[in-house]
Amino acid sequence: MNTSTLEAEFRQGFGWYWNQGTLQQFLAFIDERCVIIDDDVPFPMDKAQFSDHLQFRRSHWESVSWIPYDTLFEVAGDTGIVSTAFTLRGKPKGSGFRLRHGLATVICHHDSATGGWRTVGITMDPIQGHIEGASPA
Amino acid sequence: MDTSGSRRDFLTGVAVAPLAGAATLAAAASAGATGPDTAVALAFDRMVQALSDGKLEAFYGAMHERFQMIDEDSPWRMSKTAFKEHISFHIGGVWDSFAWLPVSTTARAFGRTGVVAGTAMFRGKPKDAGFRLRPLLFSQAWVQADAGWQLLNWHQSPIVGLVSRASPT
Repeated sequence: MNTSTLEAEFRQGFGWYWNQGTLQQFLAFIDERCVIIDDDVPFPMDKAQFSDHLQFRRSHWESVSWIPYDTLFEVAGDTGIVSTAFTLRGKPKGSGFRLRHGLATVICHHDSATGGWRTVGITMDPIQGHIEGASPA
Repeated sequence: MDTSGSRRDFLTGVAVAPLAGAATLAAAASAGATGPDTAVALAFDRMVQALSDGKLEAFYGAMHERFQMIDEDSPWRMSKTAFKEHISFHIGGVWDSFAWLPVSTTARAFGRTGVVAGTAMFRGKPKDAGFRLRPLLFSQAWVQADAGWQLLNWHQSPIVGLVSRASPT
């Protein structure tokens, strides 16, 4: 296990987020016990809740994609970290286009049984919250 | 001595009032953990306790040498060195008191990978300003090393950013 395999499997697993794969592939990359913090929900979700949330959201977009920037891959033992900036952008139905910039951390675990990486923690986090109210004055 | 596990004000060497009710709000992750998850939860609880006790050496000692942090008041990732410098600013006399209080946490072990995620309240009293409440979500990645569990990554996400303009209408 190394950063190359982590990057390759992350880009394949998260491909659906940038329109290069299927939702099923994306969900298959997520462990059943994964904890997810999404950019538009103020509480942690499990995989089933996250899947339901994605189904809702995609039904209300004409088009949407998630663009990572400045992505770092880190491996320590069987733990992989993907740390990235991102822009969520697209066109909701019945509304103007949207750009939503954020920071994301994807925690992965290398499963010795399958020989592959799986996502065990996701945090999608708008940058806005790090600026608004960051200081008292 | 205050043992509520909730304040870092004494890190500055300035005596201030403890935060009333902090111990009630904070919750131990290990209380709800079972099986292999318990070891991760206990490592998290020890880190939180070190922070609230002002034992910075133990707090930073819980962090992996390649630790990275996205803090709630900074819009980019920080290394361990940068995070320590950031904390130095916060404990350098700009607060009367403040505390980081995990309220609801989930701890899970996946082999030698640990995940802790949940809700926390950052609260306190800056000097020359009114009190502050900053609720947030957070996630942490832990790795099991020979010396025990170490914190590899910590990402804090203010709830204001999650709810502000979350939808187009």
